[in-house]
Amino acid sequence: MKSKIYSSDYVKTTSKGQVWIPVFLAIGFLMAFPVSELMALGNWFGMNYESSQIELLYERMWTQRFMTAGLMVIFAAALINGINNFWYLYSSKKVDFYHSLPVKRPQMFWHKTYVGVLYYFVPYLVMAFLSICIGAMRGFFSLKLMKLAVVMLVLHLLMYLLLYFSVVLVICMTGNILMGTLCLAAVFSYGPVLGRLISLYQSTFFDTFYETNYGLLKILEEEGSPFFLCKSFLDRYAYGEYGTLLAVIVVLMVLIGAASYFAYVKRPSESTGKSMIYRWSEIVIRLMVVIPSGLGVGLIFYMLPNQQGRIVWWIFGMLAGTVLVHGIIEVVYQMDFRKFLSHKLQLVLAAAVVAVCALVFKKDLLGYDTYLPAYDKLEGINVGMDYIPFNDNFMYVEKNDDGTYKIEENTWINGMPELKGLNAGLSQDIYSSLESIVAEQEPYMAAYDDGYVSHGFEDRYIIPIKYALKSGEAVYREYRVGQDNMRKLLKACYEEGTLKERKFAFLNIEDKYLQWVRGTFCDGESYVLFQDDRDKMTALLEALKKDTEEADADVLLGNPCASLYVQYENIPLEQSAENILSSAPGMQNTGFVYANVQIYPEFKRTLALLKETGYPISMDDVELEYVRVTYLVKDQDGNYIQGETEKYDSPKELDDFKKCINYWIHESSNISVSIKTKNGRDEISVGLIEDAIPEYIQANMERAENGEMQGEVSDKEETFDDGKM
Amino acid sequence: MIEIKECTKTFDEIRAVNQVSLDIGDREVFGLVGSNGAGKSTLLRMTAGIIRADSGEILIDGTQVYENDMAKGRVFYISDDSYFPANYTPQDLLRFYKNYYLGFQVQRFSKLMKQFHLDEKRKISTFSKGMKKQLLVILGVSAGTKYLLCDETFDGLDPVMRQAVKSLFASEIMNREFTPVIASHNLRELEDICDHVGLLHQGGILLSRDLEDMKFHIHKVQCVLSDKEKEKELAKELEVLKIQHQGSLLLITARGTRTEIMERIRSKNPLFCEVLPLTLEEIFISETEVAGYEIKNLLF
Repeated sequence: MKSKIYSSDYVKTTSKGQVWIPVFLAIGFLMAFPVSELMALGNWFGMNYESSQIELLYERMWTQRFMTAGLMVIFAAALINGINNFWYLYSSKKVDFYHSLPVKRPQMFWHKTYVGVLYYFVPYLVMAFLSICIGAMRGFFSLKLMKLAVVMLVLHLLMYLLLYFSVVLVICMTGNILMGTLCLAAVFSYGPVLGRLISLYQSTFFDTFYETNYGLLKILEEEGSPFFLCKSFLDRYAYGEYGTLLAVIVVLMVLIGAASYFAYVKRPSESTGKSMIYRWSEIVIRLMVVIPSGLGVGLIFYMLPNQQGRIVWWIFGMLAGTVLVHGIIEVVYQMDFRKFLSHKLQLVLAAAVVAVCALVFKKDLLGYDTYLPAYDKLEGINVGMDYIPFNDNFMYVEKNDDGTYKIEENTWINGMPELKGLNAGLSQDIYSSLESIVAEQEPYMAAYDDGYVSHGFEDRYIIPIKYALKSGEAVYREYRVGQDNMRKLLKACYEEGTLKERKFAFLNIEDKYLQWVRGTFCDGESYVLFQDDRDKMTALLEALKKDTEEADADVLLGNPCASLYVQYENIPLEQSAENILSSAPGMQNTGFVYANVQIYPEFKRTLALLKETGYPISMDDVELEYVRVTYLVKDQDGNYIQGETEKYDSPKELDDFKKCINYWIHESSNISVSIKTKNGRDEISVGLIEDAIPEYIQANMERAENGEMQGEVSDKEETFDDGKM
Repeated sequence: MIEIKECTKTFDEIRAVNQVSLDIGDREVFGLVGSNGAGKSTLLRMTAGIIRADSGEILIDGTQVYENDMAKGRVFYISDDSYFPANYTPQDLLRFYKNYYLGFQVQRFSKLMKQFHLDEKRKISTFSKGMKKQLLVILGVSAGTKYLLCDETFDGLDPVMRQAVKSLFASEIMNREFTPVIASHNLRELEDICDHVGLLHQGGILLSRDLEDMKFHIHKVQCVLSDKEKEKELAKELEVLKIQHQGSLLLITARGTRTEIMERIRSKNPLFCEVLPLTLEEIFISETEVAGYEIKNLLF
């Protein structure tokens, strides 16, 4: 029998009482497209952007603003239409009504999908057309814009179908409203929540965990649900990097569409009212929820107490969480409190999996902390240097062919998986220093004594490393690295990679953008240099450029004798919507660059110019009044507290100190040194060059470390508890 | 015709329909009787193609009904607890069904609506329970399907309307190929309308008989015999379903034609002998008691 369910007459009849849906969606799209467009255009014209800039911004609107705003309405549309068309499956009365009609289930499915698309597409099309008209009226109409509008329409339709079929699948798989609502919430949040949980476990139990998303965790957290996948896709689409995700969306849409089709066609009418329609899905969902819940509750209990008893509470939490969530699911499944502990075998299975997962994290059975890719699988590494005190702060600058500049922050390690930014490259030296770094992690972590670090492991630098693999993947780790290995790694990086090139790239910026140079000298005082002599300022940077070109890794890792803070302003940036919006309206699209570089004794040209300023570039040039040394001792709990404080002011002592004081050296963990110069107003903290520390100071440091020195209650406490086991 | 062949349907651990076999002939009013939970609705839902039998098959004019739009197009199902889309009027429902049942008789629908004094433009949600049932019957009749499955449709109809519906069915059967199947837990409701009755109990079919046939072959006689010996002889000679004593009056329900039974009794020279009318209920009680069931406990 040929039914007429696709006829306009039938659609008109069945739309009775449902007209609110397209009307509601029309309002949504009206806000997302024409209203949003009018507001943006009004702002741009009002803010005196140039017409070329507005044109660029308007194009951007079709790839970013409309896409994102549209997604929110699409999500609402998919939810409303999916529920409206298939909600009847939760009522046996309605099921009898619809399923007694002389029409096959596949036909019914496609008819409902057709209505669902119609309710979405008509208001969408009207509002998108209205937006095009508004743009055209304001002078924005081109083939490129038309193409962008069509692409937006197609992409939104794809995303709508993905979200719509996800909703339909949930409804077809569940038998009552409670389960449907819970499963809908799970479909749109399970992946990100699971990703976050794994991430939390990794940060808690793995010493080398680095807080960034990559690999499976990135997929789970950013693309682990249909909505977040669409969101992630739009983020990438705005920057033209969407090919893979588009393919994923298409494939997933087809798969979920097929799954929802079969779930609907095969759904037994009599199953209405049950929690889950298909028995196998009950087990799968139970395990998918119970296992992470057990681990999650365990982690909460693990976090609550102090170090002592954590493991016991952790085990208790996992056990309680597993049993509780299993019981709740059983009660929801069977709508009977007496069934709380039914399916004991599955409970035991879930508990066993929770135990295995816990063991994997606790004992690092998968070798997370000892991971080091094989040399032949590595393409290169990136090293994060934000926390390395003796390294300089800088921004990377690159000049474009059109005279504009590209400026990058020094936070490159969180970038894309490809090797961008500070590529340290790869060499046998780098790899060998990485091996040493990985090897020193275990003894370092073992040195923790109830959360406090033991002697010999205090002076560690935290460095994140990105391993870029030849397979295209990236793996991140964060290491606690000792001075020796740190220097060894940096030396290898300077020699092999782009560290040096990128670090001093700012020296290629045209002089006209240079604003000022501030120097910090070995007495810790800072001054603006050559304020009234621009030629000298330019010459200083030219000298610095030559010195850095000649400097090798050993020089760049030496002890500095001065530092320069250089600032450039009004640098023209490349024309992009982001740059336009980040600039003041009506102003030229410009940016600024700063760099803080250290000057080493080998930088002869630079030092020669600095000498002309008269400021001290050697401690011999400094007139010391006294040196104050505070020794730090450990209390019973292992905290560092203030010990004895000595003031050294005799000429001999001051001469001894002049040989070892360096303003740029990080102070040792059990000594605190400050100096007062005759010209200075305040005491300034400094570090000591270890090899040159006078013997009498070393003797006191040993006394402090061996507990032979009395401690005082002090504000200065250094704890090393980062919560890790 | 509708052929139900050894159909079984189980819901979790409950066997709602158990190995049921039934033939529902054309142009007869088929009554499906059974207590609550006997499996009537399940059997009707399977016949309407809503649910699939676990085993066995249901054929509508020789073709399987489940997921067969051709077969389902010959059946209109009126459920016990019917659903009407929100804000729909009878006219909307007519438009809705018109797209599924291509032989829908629009004029007949309007005519019947007038005859039953139902307003086509009034929202169905404002109708009483009885009016909704009438509307469903009118829709079912107007749909032009060969089979009309009614689940407890007469429940809620007043006697006048019940009579009107019965007349409507009769006239439909007269004018075209039409076979209503009426499920009810109340035998009295079906007595004067059904040609054939199937009795369901605990998912199984106890009996399925033609009513006229049953009435022709079972009779109830009251008589007074002169001595006990003759009563014993009579009991042996007749296929007795039930014997009751009311003082000296003997009430015999026996299988056989009226002539056969009366001849046997008269041969015993009764002091008094008379055939009493049998209700459908009594026939069923007699039949099922013989089968070992206390039908009184099952139905009433």
